[in-house]
Amino acid sequence: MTTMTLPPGPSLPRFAQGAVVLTARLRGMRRMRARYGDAFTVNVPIFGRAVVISDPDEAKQLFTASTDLVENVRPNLGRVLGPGSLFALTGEEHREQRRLLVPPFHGRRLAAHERTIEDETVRETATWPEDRAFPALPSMLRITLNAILRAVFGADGDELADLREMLPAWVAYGSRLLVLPIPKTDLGRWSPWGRLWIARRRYDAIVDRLIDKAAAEDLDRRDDVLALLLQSRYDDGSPMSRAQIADHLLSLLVAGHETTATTLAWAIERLRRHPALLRDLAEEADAGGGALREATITEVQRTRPVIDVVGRHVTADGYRLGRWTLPEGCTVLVAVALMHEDEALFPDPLTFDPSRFLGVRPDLYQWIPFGGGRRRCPGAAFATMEMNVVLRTVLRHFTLMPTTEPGERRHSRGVANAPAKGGVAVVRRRSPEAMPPSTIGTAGARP
Amino acid sequence: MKVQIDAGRCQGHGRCYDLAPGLFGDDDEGFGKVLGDGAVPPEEEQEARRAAANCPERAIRLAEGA
Repeated sequence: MTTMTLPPGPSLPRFAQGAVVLTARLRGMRRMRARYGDAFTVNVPIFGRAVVISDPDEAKQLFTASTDLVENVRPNLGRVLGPGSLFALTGEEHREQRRLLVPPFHGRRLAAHERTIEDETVRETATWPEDRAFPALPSMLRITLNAILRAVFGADGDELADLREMLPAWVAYGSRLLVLPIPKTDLGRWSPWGRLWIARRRYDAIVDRLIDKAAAEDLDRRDDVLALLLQSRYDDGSPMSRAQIADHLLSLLVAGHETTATTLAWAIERLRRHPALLRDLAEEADAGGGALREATITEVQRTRPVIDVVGRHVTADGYRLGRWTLPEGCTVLVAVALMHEDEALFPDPLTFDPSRFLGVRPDLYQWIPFGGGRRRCPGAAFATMEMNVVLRTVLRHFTLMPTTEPGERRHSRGVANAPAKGGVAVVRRRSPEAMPPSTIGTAGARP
Repeated sequence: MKVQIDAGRCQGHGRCYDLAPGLFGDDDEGFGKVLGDGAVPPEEEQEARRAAANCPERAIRLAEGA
C-alpha cells in the first residue's frame, strides 16, 4: 500500500475550519500559509479533506496532469449548469466539446465582438451621474451580461430581454446553492433546488424558441455561438443535442459575465487610488495606445483575483504531486491569491504596479486568475478584450476622479470576490471636442 | 532555433500567441499558427521557450540550432 504524504494543517473539526475558510477566505489562507508554509491540508465542508497549494511548480504539475490522474474539482458548477457543461465534462469528452467552443471566442470573431462591447459601454455609461459617488459594479454587470448575450445569441430580441431579466438572480441564487448537498429525493418546488429547476425549465423553453428561430435563418451569415454550435457536427456527422447546446450556452452566460464585471469594478477601485497612473492611462487612450492599459488589467487581476481557488479532484490513488503523495478522492485547491502574493514570482507583491507587466506577459502557470492548463477559462481572450474595450471607452468619455479613501475590502458574492462597496466611482463627463475619434480594432485584434 | 506547431495536437488554447505574439498568431478559428517560417531570432528565444512550456497540449516543438 502506498504511504500518503499530505502537507501539515490544523486539527480543528471540519465545521470550525470551514468557518475560517468560508468566511475569511483570504485572511484564513494567509494565516495558514504563515503557519504551515506554501502547502497545507484543511478539512472543510463541501470538499472534505483538501490540500491547498501555491507553489508554482506544483501548480503547473497539477494543471498539466493527465486526466487519468486528475479531473475537475467535485462538486463544481456543473451541478447547477447541467451535465453537458464544460465544468462537468471530463476526459476525452471535455476535450472534444471544448474544442468546439474555441472559434467563437478567438480569431476573426473576437474582433467582431469589439464593436458590440463599445456600443454597450456607451449606452450604459450614458446614464452615469456626474460628481456623485455611485457603485460601478451594477453598470459593469449590465454591460458584460449584454455583451455575452449578444456574443452567444447574436441579434437582440424579446428572448434576450427575458434572459436579461432572469439570469442575474438565478446566478446569484445558484452560486449560493453550490455549497448545499443535492437532495436525493425531490423536496418540491419550494425547496432551494426546486426553485433552481423551475428557473432552468424556463431557460430551456427560451433557448428552444431561439433555436427554432435560428433554424429558419441562414446560419452561415451569423457569428454567434448558438449559430456555430447548431452547425457543428461530430465525427459521425450527427448534430449536437439541444440539451447539450443549452448547457454550453448557460455555462458561457454564467461564467462569462459576473467575473469580468467584478474585475472591472476592481479596476475602477484601484485606478481612483493611483492618480498618476490614471492620468497616464487617459493620455494613452487619447493617443490611441493600449500597452499600459493591458498591463493595468493584468495587474488588477494579479492583485484582486475574483476567484479564490482553482480546484482539482485526484482520481488515482497515490498521485504524486511535488513533495506530496495524495489519496484518490482528495481535493487539491490552488490558492490564486497566495501564488499572486509570492515574492519570488512578483517582487514587492502587495504593491499595485502595472509597470511590472509593461511589455512582459506573465507566465500562465504563475499568473492564474483564469485557472490553468487544459481547463483554463476558454473565454480568457474574450474577457481580456472586453475589459480593455470597456476601460478604454470609459477613459475616453469620462474623467475618473481620484480619491484618498482607503481601498475597498473584498466581499464574496458567492463565487466571485467583489469590492465591498461595488467599486465606487465619481466621474466627470469629458466635452465631446476633447474626445479623440474612435479607433475600433486596437483592443483585441492581433497582427 | 525554429518553432513548429503540431496541428493535430493543438486545441486552440491560445497560450502561444498570447505569450509570444512575434512568433505565433491565430488562424480564423483561433487555433495557433507559426508566423513566417518559424525561425526564432536570438532575442525571442526565451519567449519561444515560454510559449512551448505553457502549451497544455505540448503541441509546440523547438528545434535548437536550426
